[in-house]
Amino acid sequence: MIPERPMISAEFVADFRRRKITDVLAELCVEQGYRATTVADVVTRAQTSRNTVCQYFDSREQIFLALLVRSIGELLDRTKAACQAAEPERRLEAGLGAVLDWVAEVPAAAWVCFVEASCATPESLRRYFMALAEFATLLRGNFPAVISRPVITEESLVGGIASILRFRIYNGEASRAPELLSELTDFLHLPFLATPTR
Amino acid sequence: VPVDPSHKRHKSLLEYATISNRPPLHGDRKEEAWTGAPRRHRTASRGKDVFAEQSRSAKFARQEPASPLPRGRTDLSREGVADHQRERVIAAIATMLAERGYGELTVERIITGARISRTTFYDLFANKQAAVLFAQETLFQRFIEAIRAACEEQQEWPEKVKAAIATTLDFAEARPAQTQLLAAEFLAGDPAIAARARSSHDRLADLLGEGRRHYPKTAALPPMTEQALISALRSLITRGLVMEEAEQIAGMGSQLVELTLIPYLGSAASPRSARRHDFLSRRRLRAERLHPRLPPGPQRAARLSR
Repeated sequence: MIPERPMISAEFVADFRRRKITDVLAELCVEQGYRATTVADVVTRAQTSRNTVCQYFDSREQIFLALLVRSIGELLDRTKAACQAAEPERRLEAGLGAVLDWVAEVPAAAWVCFVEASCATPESLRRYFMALAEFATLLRGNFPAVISRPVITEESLVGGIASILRFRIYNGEASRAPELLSELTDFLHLPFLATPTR
Repeated sequence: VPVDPSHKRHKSLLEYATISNRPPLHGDRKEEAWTGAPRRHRTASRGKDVFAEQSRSAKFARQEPASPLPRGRTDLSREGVADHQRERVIAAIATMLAERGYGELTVERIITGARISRTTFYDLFANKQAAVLFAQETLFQRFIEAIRAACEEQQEWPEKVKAAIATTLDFAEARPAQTQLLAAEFLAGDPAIAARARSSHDRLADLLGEGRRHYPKTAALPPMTEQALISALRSLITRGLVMEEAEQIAGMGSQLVELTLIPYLGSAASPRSARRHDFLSRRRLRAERLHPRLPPGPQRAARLSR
């Protein structure tokens, strides 16, 4: 008797394989860096064939960009959800907390988004800044509106925090990211320092 | 800590943040455009940095030198030619990094961009890493010198910050690729290059941190404030360069100044509405509720003297 073919849709298989390939690239980036990683390494680690990889992605850069877009999307969704769930005056803290927890939970994805993205390829750098802009918009929506401030405030706060996280992750301290919550929350409130400090 | 007496009455934050009246920084740029080779050469200046002279006269030459020296005999000394070649290597590295990223930077591409031979490249530098380190070092030296010169012309600390930011933006406008090289962190690249980038970052943060001497109450600021501010400025400028929003960079000046000065001078927002969100004063407000501060007068003097 011939065993029945499992009823799995072609899209599911494609999604699964894409996910597998991008996950493998993330692992390899952490271990040896994007620069040193070749498509051949991905093929070996993912236990698939070069043909399969080529079917879904045109180049190493394409795999990397797919991985980046997916990871950033996940992070953004989590942050938005956390912001909405929190009370209005604790939204900044909740959103920041969600980002820090994500960094601690998936260190490989965090490494890719924060460390590799900013110097892998020019296109990944552009994606990185587009992601920063999205977070800046999110922050703008959750800031108290009464305060007048420079238009670039949100972007610079997001950029500053991303840079601090990047160095922590680079130094292998991704798991301790949540400890930064109180200090970084203070930093987010910096533009609202009202009293002249003299 | 001694406090600078020139800060007796400080201006409002917004007064500092308007850049319109800044001294002309690059007015002579047009006449003194880069011509490819140092104009005059004296045998006496052998070993001197001919490019330092150049960069003093034209604050920041807009064009980055890419073309080699003309063929045939040159009146440059051996060292002068080597300087010119190094300069081309710096420009080539910067352009290549901006176009293709560190991952794609090879000696092959550098020598093609700089139009020197492989042999010459290895005469000048031990390897690619050495060349990138040299480019970082040289460019940062020039950048920090320009900032220092701009700051020296100013008396008040906030004015110095303003001058430094204006200089940075001029530098970014005139030399986008080199600025991107200076601002890059190279974390996923070579550890030595990343460490070099980190140390220049720290130097800028220390420079900004001098503001704390002028504003003693800034002791309450989180210790990483300066680091975060420098990162923020760096991120904004790089973003402008990467996304090719050059005109936006030029327009950001006053906002960058305002943003940088807020932790030291306080927000320009109306104090009453801002105070509700002022995380540092929260504790003080609570303390005042418990022990209301008396208005100045005999009663207060009596309480204080107790």
